[in-house]
Amino acid sequence: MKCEYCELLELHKNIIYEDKEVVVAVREIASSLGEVTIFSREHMTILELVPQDILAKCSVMANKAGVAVFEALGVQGTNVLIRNGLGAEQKVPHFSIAVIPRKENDGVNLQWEPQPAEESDIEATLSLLKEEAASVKEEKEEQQEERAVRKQKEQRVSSDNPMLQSLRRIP
Amino acid sequence: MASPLPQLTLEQQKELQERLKKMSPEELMEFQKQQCIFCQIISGKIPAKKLYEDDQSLIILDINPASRGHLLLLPKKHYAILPQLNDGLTSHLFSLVKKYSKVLLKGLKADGTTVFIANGLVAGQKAQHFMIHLIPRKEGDSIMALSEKGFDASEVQKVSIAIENKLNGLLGMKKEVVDDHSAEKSPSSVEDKKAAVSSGERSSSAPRQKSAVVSDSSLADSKEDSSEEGYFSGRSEQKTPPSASQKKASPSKKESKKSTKENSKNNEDKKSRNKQKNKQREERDVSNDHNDGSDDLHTADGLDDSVSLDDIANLFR
Repeated sequence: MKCEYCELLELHKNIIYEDKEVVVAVREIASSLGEVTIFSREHMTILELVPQDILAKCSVMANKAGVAVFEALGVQGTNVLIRNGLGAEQKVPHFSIAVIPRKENDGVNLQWEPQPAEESDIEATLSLLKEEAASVKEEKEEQQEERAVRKQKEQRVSSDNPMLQSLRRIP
Repeated sequence: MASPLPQLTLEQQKELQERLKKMSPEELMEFQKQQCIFCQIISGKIPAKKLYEDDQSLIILDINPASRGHLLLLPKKHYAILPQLNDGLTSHLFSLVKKYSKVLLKGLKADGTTVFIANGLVAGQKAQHFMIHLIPRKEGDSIMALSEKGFDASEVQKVSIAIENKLNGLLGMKKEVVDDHSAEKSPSSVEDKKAAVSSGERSSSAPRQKSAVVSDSSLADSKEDSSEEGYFSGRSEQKTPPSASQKKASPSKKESKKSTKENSKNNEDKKSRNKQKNKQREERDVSNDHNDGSDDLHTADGLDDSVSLDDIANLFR
């Protein structure tokens, strides 16, 4: 089965912006009318797999789309939401940022119940995460190098092979 | 989450706004500083569980977490809502989101992460300092379950045209999309524009309801400023003029004082300040031109345009 967002792109349905990397579409299946989704053109499942430069573009587009939603729909607020992973109710296996227009009593519920936490628990979590953050940093740099190499390879392949190039152009 | 302003009822909000109106600009600034608990965390006055810090941003653990490891990503500078952040800061914060989402997934063996931003009280914003929530999730934790439904395709198309036109404007694109339903509307908007231009006014100020947000004093100060949409000046200069309080409405406290003394000087000040933003202004002009058309579009569709971004941002001031 095709990914919903890749399909939107293919059918060019309700797409309000697109470039080489980022696509912005208004969703028909949404939590409120006018919900905008910003996703990467390339099929990438979760946030962690999205290259830094594409994520930056997505976030900036999300901000701009949020402003557009504010003005175009005259709403009183917006939520920007990334559902990242199945555990976070990600429904489409394609990274996206949702911008949800909000009005009073619109029935959209995004509130959570705060869980009481012990000072010592928070302290323990903090040191755990600090440790983890230190190790992730190195890995991230490695990955970026990998990605750069991969990109070069891809470019070489695509420039070598005109068939592939034309394939790439087909949305 | 620590919230300096608990969820206020409408009456309380009104009361607060009345109080704010009566304050002098100095008092108001002091009030804001005192109110923002996160500014105090950033300045170190209030202790917090800091996970990461750089010159622009801070990550802390939420003391009332939705789940263990709930993080708050804050810009160090005080902003109320996302649209006030520039592109650089936005992407910087999201790069941190990515990194720390991974930290949570690995460190806490989470099944996913929810990245959550609320712009405005109705969206569930509780503190007046902009922040990104990063919440580690476990399957079936029912922290947040957003229901979705299918909307009528033609309705979705209508709103998407309205949003697309706005977005094109914001991106400085001249392209305008017109839908069958509103095709007859577009000629009139063109005429409107022409009329506005020929009368020597900024085309944007006349037809926009939002221009009402701009205060009398700033209207007198500078025509240029008055024609701007309030939120743009808010975004670029972070001095969002609120509709609620006219005193605050002039771009900054100091300048509002000046303006009462000497309008022309203020005008000069503003111009020099605006020089740096010439580029942005050009973009805005383009967007304003656009907005006229699309405004007609969506008011024709019966959509309400009475709430400006300022109102959202300033509910917190």
